[in-house]
Amino acid sequence: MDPEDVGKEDIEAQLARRIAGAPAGEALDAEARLYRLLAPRARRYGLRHLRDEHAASDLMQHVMTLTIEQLRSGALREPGRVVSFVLGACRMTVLEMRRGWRRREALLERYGDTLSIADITAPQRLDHERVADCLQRLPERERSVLVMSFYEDRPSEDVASMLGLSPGNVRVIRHRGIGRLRTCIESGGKRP
Amino acid sequence: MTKTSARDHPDFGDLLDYWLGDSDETTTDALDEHLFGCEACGAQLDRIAALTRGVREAFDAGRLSVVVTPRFVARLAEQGRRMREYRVPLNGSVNCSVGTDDEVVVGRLQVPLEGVQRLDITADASLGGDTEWLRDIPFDAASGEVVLLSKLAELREMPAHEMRVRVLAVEDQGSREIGHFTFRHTPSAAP
Repeated sequence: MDPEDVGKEDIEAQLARRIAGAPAGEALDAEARLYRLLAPRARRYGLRHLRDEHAASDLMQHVMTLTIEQLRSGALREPGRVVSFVLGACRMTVLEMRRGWRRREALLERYGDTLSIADITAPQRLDHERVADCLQRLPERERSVLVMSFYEDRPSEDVASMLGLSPGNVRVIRHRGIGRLRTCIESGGKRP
Repeated sequence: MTKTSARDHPDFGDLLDYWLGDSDETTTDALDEHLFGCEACGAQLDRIAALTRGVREAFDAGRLSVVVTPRFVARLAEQGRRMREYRVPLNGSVNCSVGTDDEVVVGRLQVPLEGVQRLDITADASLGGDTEWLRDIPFDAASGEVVLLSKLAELREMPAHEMRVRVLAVEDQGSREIGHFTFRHTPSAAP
């Protein structure tokens, strides 16, 4: 972790201590700032492990609600370790979400309306026409591998078994293809 | 796969492997932790997520033509995608169209592929224009078919025409036609 990252972690710890040290619900500004810092990370975790944008948003909301509630009530004994707490809560919640939604719904019902939760930036979206144009310029094999990999976020082994290739080969094609795709999209779709 | 600890910044390939489930459990856990402490890598992962979402959206918008496999098509069917499939026998033809509700149009070219090392496809439309070459397409020789997904958005705008497709086995000595197929397209009826 570089010094910049350490600095950011300190900010999160400081905000967590401010929330924990204030009467419940009085440190709204710190709560909003902490939410803005940590919520995108919880959502990323959710996207990776749940593979569903709505479920990832639910996870994010649930974990941040839980975190702020724990800070307010003093139940989080080491506010300085709030980042670790959020990661742990994400891991537990993903397991719970795979089992059912009961606890999440109960928590949201109990605390959801009382928290001042800031909006966070929506996930980055690309112009699909530009993506399509850039994809169409790729060699056939790369386009096929990227579509079959990304359509359902499939691992190389899965795509390889469909194409009669080795997973290593799929990863090489995928890596080369996504490199070209990024270059094309970042250049604004201009032809070389 | 490079082992990644919380102190290392993973490269783009490591993050792509992580995103697609190609990293092992230990590496996945380490990256989960790293991403909670590193905004730069988080932003990189967001770019990967945006790219994968962009590919899905381009596909869903019918803006891609792509060679896939029978199993990929079966997965689309399992997801309830509205599909129109045309299975064309070796050296045969088919009358085809596209409906307003169709989400995917699939051409399944029945062609023996045993022993084929590399495959190219050419397509010539009766409307004129240059021959379209699809070079070195992926295929599963055991399936005995080449599966093409059409660019639906473009197909919807096209007038009646014929598309002649040749499948070529590429060998050291040159290429050899192993099958040809004709699609006779008529525009869809107005809704």
